[in-house]
Amino acid sequence: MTDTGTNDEPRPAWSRESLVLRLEKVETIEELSREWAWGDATGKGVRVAIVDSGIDATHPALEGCVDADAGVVITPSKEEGGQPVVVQGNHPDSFGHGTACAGIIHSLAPEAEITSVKVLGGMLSGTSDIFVAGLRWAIEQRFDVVNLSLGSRKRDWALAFHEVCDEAYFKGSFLVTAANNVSRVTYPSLFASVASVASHTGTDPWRFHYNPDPPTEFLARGINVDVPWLNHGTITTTGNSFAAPHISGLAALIRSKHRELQPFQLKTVLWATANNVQEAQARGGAVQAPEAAGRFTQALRLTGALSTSPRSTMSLRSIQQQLADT
Amino acid sequence: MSDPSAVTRQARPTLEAICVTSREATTASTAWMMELDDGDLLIVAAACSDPAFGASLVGRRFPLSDGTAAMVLQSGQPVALQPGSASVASDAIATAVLGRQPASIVCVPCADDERVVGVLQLVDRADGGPFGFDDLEMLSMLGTVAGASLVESGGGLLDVPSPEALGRDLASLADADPTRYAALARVIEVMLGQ
Repeated sequence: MTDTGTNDEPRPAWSRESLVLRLEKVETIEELSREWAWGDATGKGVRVAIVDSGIDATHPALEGCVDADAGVVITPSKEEGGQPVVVQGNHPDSFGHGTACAGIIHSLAPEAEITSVKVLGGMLSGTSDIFVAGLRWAIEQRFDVVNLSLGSRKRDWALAFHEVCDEAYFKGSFLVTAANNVSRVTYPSLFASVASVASHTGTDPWRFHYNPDPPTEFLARGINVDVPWLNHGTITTTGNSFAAPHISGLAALIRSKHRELQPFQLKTVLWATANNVQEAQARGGAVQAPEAAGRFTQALRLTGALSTSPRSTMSLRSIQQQLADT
Repeated sequence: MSDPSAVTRQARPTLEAICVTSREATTASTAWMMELDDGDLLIVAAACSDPAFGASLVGRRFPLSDGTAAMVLQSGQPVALQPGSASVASDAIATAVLGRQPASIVCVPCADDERVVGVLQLVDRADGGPFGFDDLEMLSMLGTVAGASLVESGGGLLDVPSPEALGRDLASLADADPTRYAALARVIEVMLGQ
């Protein structure tokens, strides 16, 4: 203790002067409302990267929200053991998957600017080094939100994914990943530095749940989602791939209204504004956060089957039903 | 076997059983499983109402360049594509397999602990409706079993020698090593006698 702060309280020698950030106009946890979080927000000023199969920037449903020239394709090195190569420029979507994710994000945050980071499709094999390189590029470019509706199982790459996700966390990029459907290891959806998302059984794009038993932390719409696809067409599709962009879209909205929020704060705002959390508060009345957390527990623990434990005995549908009944 | 034409490639029973089970559970018209083989997708098992047609699909090979199966294999994420969608009609592999455009598709990865080694794909529910999230969850679990089986067996197909090829090999053995041939012939004789 060799220094003192402005209020003369002792503080560690390594500490530096810093501002205590407060959430503007939020005194209690109940005031973290959806209106506060994203009311009147459009996503304006927010940059979203979609690490996927490319995006058809000309798709009418995207209404010009994609910065096609800024997009990149990550290609394998031509040299044995070389690093993947980043090639900037407009490119197509090989599968429709990336265009679908862009469509969902655009439907929620219409003024967010979307950029494609193509790591899947064509001659790309979806290998982990390509995936990590694409993710690293997005973080270096300091995108506000990065959507990852894909994953890798290769343990050899776990450390690389962990490092790059930590880098994103510290640099302020909010990573949103699709969770696995079964209890298998996938990266980077297991890491605390990302928001891992699975499908709930509802069809409301604005409805999402918080799951208190990680690694899957949020449930969003992923069933019967109408999305833009190849050849300027649309499809109706189901999968966790399409739940993640719903949270990415909401994160883009929140960031456009509250530029100062860091990833951990953004995740907290998502927790506070999740439907099951908001509804549990409404049932329990106005309470302080610790007490509220206790009161929520019984209902929220029902989603525990989404953890790494085997979940053969409880389907998402039954979880949803029990949440509704509680 | 030095002569590839002398080998009949058959589905492994475990993989075939997974296709049959998944088809019956989802009421799909056809189910097939593909593994990643030399950069291509190779059908290693299939199930449909016509067993002969199902057997004819085994061994067919498709490039890993586009379509739902390639997307699932590369992303590791299962998907269901619903009736009336443009992309279902444009799925090259499904159309080539069926000889017509499917109405709906569900496709899940087959993976072991480390990697996605194949996909399980089904088309067209009996009621004409969409594959649901329950289908996706159930098939995802079957996909993990299939993945383990694919890895453990070192490949999805069994190489079964044709009778002609087996006869040629036995003739070669008789010329090269009459004593071993006699021993082998005795074993075969006993087995046939049983």
